[in-house]
Amino acid sequence: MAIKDIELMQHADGELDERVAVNVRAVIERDADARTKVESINEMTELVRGHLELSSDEIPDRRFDAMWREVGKAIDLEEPVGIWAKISAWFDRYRGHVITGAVSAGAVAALALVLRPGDRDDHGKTNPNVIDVQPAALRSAPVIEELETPGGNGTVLNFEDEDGHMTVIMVTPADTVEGI
Amino acid sequence: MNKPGQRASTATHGRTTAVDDHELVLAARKGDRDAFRTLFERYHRRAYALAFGVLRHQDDALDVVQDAFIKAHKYLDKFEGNSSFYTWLYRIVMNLAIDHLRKHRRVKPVELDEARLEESADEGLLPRILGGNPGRALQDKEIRARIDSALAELSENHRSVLVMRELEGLSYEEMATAMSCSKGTIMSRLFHARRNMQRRLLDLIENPSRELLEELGVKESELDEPASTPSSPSVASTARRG
Repeated sequence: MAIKDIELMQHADGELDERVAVNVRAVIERDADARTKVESINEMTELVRGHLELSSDEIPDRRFDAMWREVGKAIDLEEPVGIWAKISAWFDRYRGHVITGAVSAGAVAALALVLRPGDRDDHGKTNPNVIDVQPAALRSAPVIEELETPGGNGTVLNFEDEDGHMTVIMVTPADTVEGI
Repeated sequence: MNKPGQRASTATHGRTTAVDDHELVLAARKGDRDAFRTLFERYHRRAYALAFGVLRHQDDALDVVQDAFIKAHKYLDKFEGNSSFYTWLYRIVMNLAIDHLRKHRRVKPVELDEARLEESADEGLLPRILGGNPGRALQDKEIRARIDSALAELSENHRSVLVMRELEGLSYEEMATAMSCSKGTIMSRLFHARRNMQRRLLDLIENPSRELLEELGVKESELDEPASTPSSPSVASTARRG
């Protein structure tokens, strides 16, 4: 049975149907020429891959460091996607202030507004600017901490749910009686 | 040498333990920049090797890799996790590299399509040409320069397929999807790319320099031996069989 070189290549690449592959393997076992051709495919793989990997290794780290700086700049210009990403980004920026209780009252009030669930307007429609808070399956009981803020007080809930770690800040301005 | 698709940079940023790519993607989605940097550190060189293999130009390849990471971060929410992060990333790299070739085409591509596969089938593959020690051969600058120029002489489509297969170990089906063509076309391109690479490297093997022979550990006396054994380690005798 004569085998075409392209079939030898398919065999070397593991792309032959098993029925055909059985015949090709049998031929390769007894045909030294076919065997060396298959070996040549593997050799080419080693040569090309090795050459490209070495080419990559020859690029100095500083070029990739510079690349990361450019990537970082581009990330900075990106708008955070999704409300939670926006809140996380806000929290990252103000984390130090929040922990020390030094965040501004305006910022905290804004955050509380964003987090308040499902307000409805006079026509009974849900306000699209607020989050409809869905119950989450918690892996562990939330850790609750008190948060002192200027002009109000609040609570920080840290918990693990199916999406991973989550921090939620609930803040109540001092002139309201609504608690958490 | 690593197996296809298994190469990753070793360094990670700010994370001392091995963290799963999926966890890093989840963290990066939530704005954790260190997580994304770890992904960058893991895959930037591998992504570069892919881009460089296709583009053959260092600065262009670096630009494509940079754009690929920026794009990956931007669309991280759209990554569904059905494949690995790197599989997703290399698709971005390949798309950008192919786009780059289209926009900055320097040479007119010349290739054989699958319709011509049959008529050129007699121009078959050569037996292995480097005596079964490609790792050692790659230490030789002359061989690497020849591989480099042989890659550069391939048409863009042939080179792209060859690089995807040899570097990343993609299946014909995956390559067909990446290049928006049939599996038959991919097979044809790959066959011709490999055969052309062999032919372009053959001259080097037929007329090896003394330095190359020494590098490969071939004794001068072996050059006059008849090529009787298929698996002979001799560079020249192996080449003569072709």
